Amino acid sequence: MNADLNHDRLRRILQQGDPAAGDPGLTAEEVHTLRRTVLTAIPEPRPRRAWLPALAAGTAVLIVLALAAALGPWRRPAAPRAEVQVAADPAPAAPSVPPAVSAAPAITIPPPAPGVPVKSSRPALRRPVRALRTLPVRPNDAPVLTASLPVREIQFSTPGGTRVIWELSAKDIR
Amino acid sequence: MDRHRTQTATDRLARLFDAHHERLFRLARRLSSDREEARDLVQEAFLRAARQPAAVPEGAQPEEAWLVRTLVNLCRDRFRRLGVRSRAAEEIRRDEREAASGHPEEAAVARATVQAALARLSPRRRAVVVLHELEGVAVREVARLLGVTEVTVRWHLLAARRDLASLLLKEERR
Repeated sequence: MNADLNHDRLRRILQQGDPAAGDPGLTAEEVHTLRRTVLTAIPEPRPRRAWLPALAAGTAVLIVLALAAALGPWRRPAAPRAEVQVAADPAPAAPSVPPAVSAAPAITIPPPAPGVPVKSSRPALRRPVRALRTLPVRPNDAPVLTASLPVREIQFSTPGGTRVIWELSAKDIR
Repeated sequence: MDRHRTQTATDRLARLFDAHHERLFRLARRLSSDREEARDLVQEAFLRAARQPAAVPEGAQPEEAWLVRTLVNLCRDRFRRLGVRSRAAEEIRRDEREAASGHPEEAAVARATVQAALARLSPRRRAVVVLHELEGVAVREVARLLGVTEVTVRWHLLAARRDLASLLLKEERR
């Protein structure tokens, strides 16, 4: 069907029916109106505010300073450091067992007999020593208890082999 | 400084308008259904240039291509808004009204027929046909103006010729 309308003939038909062929184009008045409409549509440039970047930078600096003053390390009160004694490896020859809460006599471990083999105290073989559980101190009893509490010792060793000994005295109970 | 910039933008836009409004209106007239629509399209294209002066490239050829592309995009927006079927139906009704109105001029009938056939093409394809077949612009130049490859232009031309031949033959056989 389309073979009947080859390219040349199609072009001729299109040119005969050119929509702009009979149009005289824009009149002078139309051009003038159009031109005025277009040229008045240019947006006004915004006034440049040279002080705006300086203001932004100043505000940022103030915020940073305020944050630093509020959260900086020098504002923190120095936390009381607990006295910790770290036992150096090797462990002391006679490990002391912490006394019980009550006024039980301290247990002393007798020194090993001459023929008995002594266990190795290498870090890999050591197990952490459990801390003894203490009874909760009631507020009313606290002054009395704390006054009579002996100094207690908690020992344990870290997986790396460091032995840690904590000494707890009455002044640590609050 | 700002006043100087505004003046420069106005001068540039005025030069742009003076250099391209005739050619743009002719193209718009071929791409649209009536004169008023063509004038609106031209105005809208220049208004876009006024609102975004930085978007318009420097140089006669690039700015012409930018305007043509903007015009075709505006046609495409309208085409999508109206819908191809309602638009084509309107063109055919107009064609039939002219044919039935007594003794229509042969040129007017041919124009209406071609316009109705062109209206059925997509805006980009219509622009390719109009630029190449009616304005005699070379394929390479059409590709540059529309910002597509030459292969795309040739493909659009091939498809448009096939569609137009089919439509015009159908009209002839009525």
